Amino acid sequence: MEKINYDNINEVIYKEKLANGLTIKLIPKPGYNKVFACFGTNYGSLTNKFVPYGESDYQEVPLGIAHFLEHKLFAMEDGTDAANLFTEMGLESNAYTDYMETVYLFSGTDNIEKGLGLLLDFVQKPCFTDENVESERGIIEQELLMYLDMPRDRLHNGLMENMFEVYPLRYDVGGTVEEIKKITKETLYKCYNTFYHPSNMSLIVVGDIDCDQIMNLIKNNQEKKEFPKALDIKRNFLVEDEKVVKKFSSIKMDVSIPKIAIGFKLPFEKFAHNEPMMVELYLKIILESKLGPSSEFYQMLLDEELISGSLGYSVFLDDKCGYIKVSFDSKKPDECSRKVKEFLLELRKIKLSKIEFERFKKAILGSFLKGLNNLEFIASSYIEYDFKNSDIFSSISLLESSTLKDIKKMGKYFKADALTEFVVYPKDWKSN
Amino acid sequence: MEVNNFYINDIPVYFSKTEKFKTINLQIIFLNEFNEFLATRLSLLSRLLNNSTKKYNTKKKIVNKLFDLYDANVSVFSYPSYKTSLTVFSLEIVNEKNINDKTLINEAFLFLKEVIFNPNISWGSFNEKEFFEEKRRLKESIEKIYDNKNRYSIKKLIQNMCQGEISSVSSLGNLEELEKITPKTIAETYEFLINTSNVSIYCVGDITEERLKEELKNFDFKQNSKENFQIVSNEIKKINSVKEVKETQNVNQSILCMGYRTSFNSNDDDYFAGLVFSEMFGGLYTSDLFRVVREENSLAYSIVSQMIPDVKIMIVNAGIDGKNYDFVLKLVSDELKKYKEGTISNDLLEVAKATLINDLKETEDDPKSYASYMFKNYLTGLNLTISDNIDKVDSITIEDVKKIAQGIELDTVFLLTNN
Repeated sequence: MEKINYDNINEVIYKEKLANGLTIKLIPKPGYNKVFACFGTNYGSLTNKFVPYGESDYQEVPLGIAHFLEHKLFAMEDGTDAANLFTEMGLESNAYTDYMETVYLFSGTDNIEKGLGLLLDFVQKPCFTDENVESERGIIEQELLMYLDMPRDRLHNGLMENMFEVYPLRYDVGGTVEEIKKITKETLYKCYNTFYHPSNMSLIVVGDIDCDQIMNLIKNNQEKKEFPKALDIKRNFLVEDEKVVKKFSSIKMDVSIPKIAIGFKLPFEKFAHNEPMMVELYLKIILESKLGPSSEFYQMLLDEELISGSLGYSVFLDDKCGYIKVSFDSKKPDECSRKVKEFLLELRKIKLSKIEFERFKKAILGSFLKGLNNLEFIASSYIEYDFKNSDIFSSISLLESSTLKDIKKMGKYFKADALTEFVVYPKDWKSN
Repeated sequence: MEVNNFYINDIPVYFSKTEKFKTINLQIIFLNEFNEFLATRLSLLSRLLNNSTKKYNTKKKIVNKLFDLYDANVSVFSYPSYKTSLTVFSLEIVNEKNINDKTLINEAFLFLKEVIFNPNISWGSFNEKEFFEEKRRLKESIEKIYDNKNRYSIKKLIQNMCQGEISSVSSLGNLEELEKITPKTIAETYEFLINTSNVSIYCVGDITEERLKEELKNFDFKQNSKENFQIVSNEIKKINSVKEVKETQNVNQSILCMGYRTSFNSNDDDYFAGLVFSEMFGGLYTSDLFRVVREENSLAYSIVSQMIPDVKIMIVNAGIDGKNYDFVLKLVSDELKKYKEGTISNDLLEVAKATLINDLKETEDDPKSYASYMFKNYLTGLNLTISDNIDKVDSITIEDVKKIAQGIELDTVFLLTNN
């Protein structure tokens, strides 16, 4: 086991890569009753064209298949459901699929070793049948319909469709009702065999644990299993420039007030280690300082009664490209979004004072330390950034040594070509 | 974890010193009445207190101050427990040890004091600019409940089910009451809250008792008896016939909400049995509702039951295809009937108990949960340790669960649908 110390935040990680390629990270948190474990594969909804394990040609799979696979992996050979087995051990389990990763997790205070064994076993033993694939379709269909009534989801998906032409950020993680109809047990096995090889996976355990004991338990479990040879996974991502597909589009829903999302497409780039994480962080600093509750611009929008609630923002970057998203509700959507767009385009020349930057460094340190109270935050953010070729525990020391020059470099992303807007109007809204 | 109890100027302080967390958490809780008149006023007042003080009179100044305090969280919020309102002033800061700053605790406590005792009020009237801005924002928040179909459906269920009861009063507020509030009357609400509440304090983190006392000694609270306030309902509601309400909107999925009356509140001996029942019925992943509705019939992505024990209500909630309404309703009612008849799985009982015991142990892993646990002891006057609570859960039998089920009656069904 390799021990990595992060003295500035008073945390330690033990790390080991097993012979079968599985990466293990153990993070001790003395005094906690609870243990949290997550087992993730570097495979999410963005990968839908790849060479299946043992084959030689690229193949495209239905949208939403990574998420469907996540649901169905809980089915066990004897007809039981892994989630039920966790529950019976008094453990809470769950799973989620995102753009870049699929993660299976459990937490609890007792039966941790049994739970860990189950986590490794059910994820590493798929059981897809025609019947269980069919019965899952109805459930996922209801899940997708539920999202269709959530304005926030519609806003996000609409913005992504405006932004990307071929890159799969265009599509919702869950796919569509039409696409999931094409999923069969055969396609599920193809995806599984390609992406659930231990060499493409990470296991993280956080809590008051005996690291040697846990590591041995994992090793024993893995040594009993046979895996095919690890192969390089060939994924095909369709590259596109920063130009957006559409500058504007809208839909109507049964809502009380127009909801607007404005976004910039972040173009394809080659990133070094930790760079995707730091670019995200720098962009968040800019957006917080310019649009957040402390900003003059936000106060102006409130004073002019243009905005309702807050001006939300988010930044996402996988290890290739991504987006900036700014969203808000407004009773005067045209005027408000015109002002927001003009303002965002001015960020090409970023003005941030040294005092402001130092204040953000302090705030981000504080915010990160607070997050370290929470085992879920530690494990899930660690795994997310790990798959983005970044180490989240290093973020604080990297930020500490960064300068205003790093921030100013971000101006290049606020380009007119890369900007798009999507609006959800109330159903009887008359636009001018 | 241990809890120390002491008083500062008549104010009880519950304090748990621990090095486990990287933060210090403090909650100051004001108990007062909860009623239709006060609900909207407390909701608006909390927002006003959050967003400006006399010294930090703009959002910009407040937010920058919090950033300077290493992203300290200071928040004010209000929620009800039966006929009592709980207005919480909460502070979360990182531990000085982690950042090598010896002034943080003192500055953060001073800031919290400013938020509580120095609101943006002059000559008996709240600052008008702040007031009208927050009033407009609250109005829009109330209107926007409509956009969250699940939340909207639960609100409509409760409104239909509990007309004239305290449970139907929204703690976010209502538009009619909001319209009546002025900068002057909200300042009166502030004075009322500060002068007539019962105050108690909860702290979790790595700070010495002496330091905590030192930091709190300049807070000038007025203390009132907590016996003035009714925290749980003992009302018994008779149901003559089940009310069914349907509303049509332009939605893709229908939302079914079923409201039940229960026989226990959060202070009763039956409380834990009630929680065990809720887990078994529709809380757990292996619960009967989840199994029957989702796994066996693929009718919903999720179906859950939840208890609102202070007002003796249970809600079952699911997103379904509207055409399956009668079928889902029947499945849920049949499951409840089985419990009433005593057809109850012992395995499921054990699982529910293990899950609740697990949750109780995890109370010690989160400073806010631990503060809530200490607060609950203060409210009930029962000084139960976590392990006392675990013993209570552990001793629950099938008979206890059956008794809970027999006290549960369907009152109202609400369906939001598109046809």
